[in-house]
Formats: sequence, structure tokens, C-alpha cells
Amino acid sequence: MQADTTRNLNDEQQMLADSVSKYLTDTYSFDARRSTANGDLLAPHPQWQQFANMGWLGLPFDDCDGGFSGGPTEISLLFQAFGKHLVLEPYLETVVLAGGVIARGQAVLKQRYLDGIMSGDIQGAFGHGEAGHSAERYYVSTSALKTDHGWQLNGTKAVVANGPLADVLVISARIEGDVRSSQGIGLFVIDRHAAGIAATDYVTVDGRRASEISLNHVEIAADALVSTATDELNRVLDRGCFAVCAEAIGAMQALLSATVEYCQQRRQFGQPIGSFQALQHRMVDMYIALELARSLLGATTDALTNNDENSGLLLSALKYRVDKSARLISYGALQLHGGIAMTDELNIGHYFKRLTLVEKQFGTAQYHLQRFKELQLQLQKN
Amino acid sequence: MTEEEITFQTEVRQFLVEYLSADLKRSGRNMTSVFADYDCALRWHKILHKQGWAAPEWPEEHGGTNWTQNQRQIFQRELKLGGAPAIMALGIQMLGPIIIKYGTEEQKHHYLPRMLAGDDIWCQGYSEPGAGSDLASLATRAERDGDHYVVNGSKIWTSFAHRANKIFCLVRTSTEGRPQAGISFLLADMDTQGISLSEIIGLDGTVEQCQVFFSDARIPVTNLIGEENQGWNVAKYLLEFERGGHNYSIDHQKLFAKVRAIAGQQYAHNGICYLEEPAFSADLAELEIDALALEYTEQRIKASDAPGSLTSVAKLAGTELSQKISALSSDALGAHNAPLQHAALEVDYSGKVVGPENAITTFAEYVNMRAATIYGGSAEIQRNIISRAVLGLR
Repeated sequence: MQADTTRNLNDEQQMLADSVSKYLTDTYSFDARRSTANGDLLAPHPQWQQFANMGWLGLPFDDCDGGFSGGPTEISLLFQAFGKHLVLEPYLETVVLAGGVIARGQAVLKQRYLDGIMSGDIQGAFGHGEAGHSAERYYVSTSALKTDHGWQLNGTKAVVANGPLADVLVISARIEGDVRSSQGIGLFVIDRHAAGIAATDYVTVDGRRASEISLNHVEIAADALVSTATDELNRVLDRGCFAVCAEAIGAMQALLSATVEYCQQRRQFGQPIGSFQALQHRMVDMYIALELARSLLGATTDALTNNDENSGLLLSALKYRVDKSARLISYGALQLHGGIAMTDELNIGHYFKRLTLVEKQFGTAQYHLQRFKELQLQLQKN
Repeated sequence: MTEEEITFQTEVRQFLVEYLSADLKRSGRNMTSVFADYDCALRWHKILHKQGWAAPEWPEEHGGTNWTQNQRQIFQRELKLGGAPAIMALGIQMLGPIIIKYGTEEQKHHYLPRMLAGDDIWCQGYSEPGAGSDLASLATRAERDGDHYVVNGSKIWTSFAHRANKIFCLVRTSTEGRPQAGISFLLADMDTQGISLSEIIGLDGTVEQCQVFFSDARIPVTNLIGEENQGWNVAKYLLEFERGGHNYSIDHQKLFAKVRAIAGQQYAHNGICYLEEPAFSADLAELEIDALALEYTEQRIKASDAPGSLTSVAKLAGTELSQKISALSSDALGAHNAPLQHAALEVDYSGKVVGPENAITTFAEYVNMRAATIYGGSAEIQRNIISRAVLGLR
């Protein structure tokens, strides 16, 4: 089974795909990953500096900011490889989310953080969801009060991925409106160690790190506010969504390949279990689920690259399909491997755990189903 | 319920009020698989034993009860929904009935009281690295040497072997005839020289399973249950207990209670909690209908003298439904699936919990539930049984 053969990559993109794949295959062993995952809560990621040296951390930033102006295709290639190798490094949090917001901020913010992000010296995190409301896209009760010098933030953010290692936080806070209003939410860039920030740090079930972050009278300068536009919040959430969808497809491909291989090797009743039709058909269904998701990833990548008016619609279709496919493929991979898949020492269950958390991020399948319907109506009206 | 049954239910409830202490209750509530905290399970076992309730399914003469089917059902439901920890099932629920049926008088006299009192904790050595669904191909050899069998081989997915002091296993005593024909059922002390184990870390990061190794382990011939080479029939009888003796509908009630607790606290959109959200509540209702159908299926099994393959139907439908219900809990919990909170699962934990209280068990339970269609005869094997034995497809 080939990775994506349906998409035309230019030379540079092909080179990126090859080098990411080669680098991770050579260095990112499952055992090494496991010891990082099970290591100290605050231990730095051993590969992060290498990611910077390879130029990956600058990939999506504009060349005028010192980046490589990579687009959705590059992000997709990178994240498919991350998914395949179950990469733990906080690329999503630092580069796509925190970096993605900072890059839209004033020059002073960019100067303060972007070089450090690209060189691997600064890590970031994005705090948006709140306890009990992680599925509500615009639920923000964390408040931002205008002060003489800037802003004061108060509130709590739940499950802030990479919170423990972040140097800089992007926090959504409500400037005006009801807690559920899509309007009036500001995106603020804050030093992780600013006075008034307290965190409960923990390891996550997929071997990563996260924090519950409370902000208590956190005073920040006026230039820390990047935007109050709903579109900007949606932009960063959608970029995160796209990245984890690509990651999920890499993980699903790995699960399918491993399952097919295992069923060809594992013998019961005097034959490879892959010779049983019931199992063959289940793997075929897994393959179909993967390819359908992959097709939507390709279409979404193109639509985002060209800024097509249906890109939001496609992204919601993609996330919905990815969540459904991820479950079907994970369940199949676990069942066909049997008991061994339920152990910590085999990678199969780790893909399942990661995919389960992806389902919960950037809008659930249910949310995207609803959004798809709304966007479809809008497009029909136009 | 009849008046007698209501009186019985009251008696069980009073017993729970009196003896199910807060920490025991916590160990029941914190279960993320079919096993509870080992020490709590054992303490609870001894409390039940003192009351004469450790093995309600056993005949009265061996220390069981003379309860009716309905009483047993009430008892199980009250304990499970009342938050009691599950006791180690492999001895009382699985080996006990075997010894009662196949054991010699001496074996009954020796093993049953110790099992009942929780003095012996048993683990089950069936599966092997090369023999899972195809159990009959098992290769652990037991060769006769005077008054002993010399056993060599390995068993895997041996639940709680690291805490058990006894093991019952299937071993190969002959290679002649059908694979099923040369299997014997053997008991052993875990501290027998030549028996060792390695712990297997599960996906939830805890140890419940082990691999057990036999290297020239000498086991007395008197530890044989039933006749030599008749172990397959003994095991089949046991598998029926593993499959048919379980009340999935009670599990489902406990799982539904959890979904409702979480879905009532977590919001889906526009200030609507999951429990009131149309799509989610429709999914929940659909599973509740499935659960109802299963409950009536279990009643049919209990009422029947020859349930036959309905037990496979119950195992399949029961485990697959448990998986779906636990998925709903995980869905509703949202982002707070993520924190890994092993310490918070300890019964004496007094620190803070990240997210809602039920966040500490939800993800692990969802993940662990995937094993329910693997162990005790996989879903594929159950479907084979039904297609052959019921539908007559070959």
C-alpha cells in the first residue's frame, strides 16, 4: 500500500515528504517514543531541536517572517508522517496554533516569539476550551477586561495541550457578549510565566503533556491582543483541525498496514488468520474507510490552498469522515490483533488512544455534521 | 417482584449499608475493567464469606445458597449498582463449578472451602502465545514422571497471575487423535519450582494480565481434574459458565448510569447538555432498546434448561453493547478524556481530580472495553458457534 499516490506534489514537496519520512523512519522508533511518553512530566522532547534543524518548525510561516511559506500541502505531508510515527513533539501546539496566531499579530509580538519558535527555543500552547464545554466551539467564560495599560484576564482553560512545556500561551478570552457568543472573543498572547497564571500539569493518555490553566488577574500589555474577529478564531481552530485530520490519516494508514501484515503472519486453525473471509472483509472495510477519508483530505488541501469558498464545507466533511473512519479502523485493528493489541508494548493501542483524543479536538463529528449542514445551506443561497 | 423478593432485596441493601464501607465503595466505583482493586476485592470477598454470600451460585452443601434465579439476579444487581467491588471471579465463578462437577471428594474437600474463604486466589492458564482463538492447538506439555507431571510451556493473558497463589490450566498430555483429545485439566501452586511469570502492562498503563512460564515444573498427578486427556470437556463446561453465567444487563445498567451522569454535566452546543441533545439522546435511547432486548434474552436463558447458543448471543450482544455504551461516556466527556490519572484511582487518594470526578475512569474503561470481544471466546468465535450450531452452516 502506497502512501498518497493520487496527489501531485512539486519537487520541493516531494523532497519534504521523502526527508520527513526517512528521518522519522530512521530515528523515531516506537521504543524511543515510549520512553519519552513515560518519562518525566517536564522532560523536554529529545527530537525537538532536530525538528528545528530540519527546518520543519519554520515551514508554515511567511518567508518575510523567516519561514518557508508552506501551505496546506506541506502541513498535510508533515502531519501524515507524524501520525504514522505517533510523534509526540508539540508541533501542533507550538507552530500551528500558538505560532499561527502570533504570526497574525503586531510586529512586536512576532519579533518577540517567531524566531524562537522557528529555532526550537520557544514552545507554545493554545488555551481555548473550558471545563464542561469542550464541545462548544465559542464557549468562553474567561474574561478580558480593558485596563489603562492593556488587559486583565481571569478564568480557567481546560486540557491545554503542551501547557507544561510552553513558554508562550495563546489564550482566548471574552471581551464582550454572552459566554456562548461567537462574537467578542479575543486571542491574547501571554508569557507562560506571567504573574497570576497557575497550572496543574499532567501526562495525557496518549503520552503527551497538558495543563489546566487558571488566570487570576493576569495583567498584559495592549499589544498582546492579536484579534477580536470570529474569523481569526475560526482560522486557528480550522488549521488545527486540518492538521489533526492529516495526522489521523497517517495513523489510520499505519493501523491498516500493521493489521494486514499481522493477519498474514498470525496462524490459527492451521492457516494464516488473514485467509478467513470474515476477517478479509473487515480489513476491506477498513481500507475503504481510509481511502474515503484520504480523498477528502486531498480535496480539502486543494480547497484551502486555493481559498475556495467551499473549503469550510470540505473541512467539516473531512473531520466528520476522519472521526468515523478512525473508530472503524481502530476497532478493527484491535479486534484482529486480539489480546496483544491491548498491551502497552505494541503500538496498535497507542494509535487507538491518539485517534480517540483527535476525535475530541477542534469539533466532534457531531459538531462538524451540524456545521456541514449550515455551510451547505449558505453555499446554496449564494 | 414478589413479597419475598422485596424482603430479600431489603436484606441485601441493609447488608450493604452495614458492610460496604466508603473505601470499598470507592474501589467499586473506580473499576475500569472487570477487576477491582485487588486488596479491596479480597476484603470484600471475606466480608461476603462471613455472611455466607461468597458463592451464591454454588449448591448449598458446598457453601452456596438455595436462592432462586431471581434472588441471585437481585443480589448481583444490588451489589454492582450499589458500588461493591467485583471479587476475583476465576475461582468461585469458574473453577468452583468445575470442581463440584468433576472433582474427587478429596479435591472438593480440599479446594472448595479455601476458595470460598478467599484463602486461595486462582488464575486461569488457557491461552498461549500460539493458541488464542484456536485454543485446542495449545502446546504446553505435561509429561508423566511417576507421581508427577513435568510441565513445559507458556500461558498468556493470565489475569492476576501476579497476585494469585494457584493456577488452573489446560495442558497437553497426548498428541494423538484430534487436538482436543489430548488435553488435560491441571491445578498448580504458583510457587511451584519452575513456574515464573512476567507482568504485561495494559493499554491503560496498569497490570492485570501476565504471561506464565513453565519450565520443568513438577506438578502432582493428584492435581488432575477429571480424567487424563478429558480436559477439553471440562474446559467446555467452564466456558459455558464464563459465557452464560454473566449478567450483561446489570453491567449495562451501571454503564448507562455513568453515561447519564457525564452527559448531564457536559455541554454539546448552545448550552444544551448531551443528555438533552437530540442526536446524543437518540443514540442513547437506541442503546437502551438494545439493552432491554438483551435483558429479556438473558431471562430466556435463565428460564431454559438448554440455553445452547443463546449464551453466545448474549455474550456477543452483551459485550458489543457494553463497548457502545462506554463509547458514549467517552464521547460526552470530551476533552477531559485526556488526563492520565492513575493515582486518583487509588482508594486512599485524597488529592484533586482533573475534570469531573468520573473523568478518572471513563477513558480507561472505554479502552479496556475493547477487550470484551476478545477474551472468553472472541466475537469471531462466538459467530462461528452460532453459525454452525444454530444455523447449521458449514
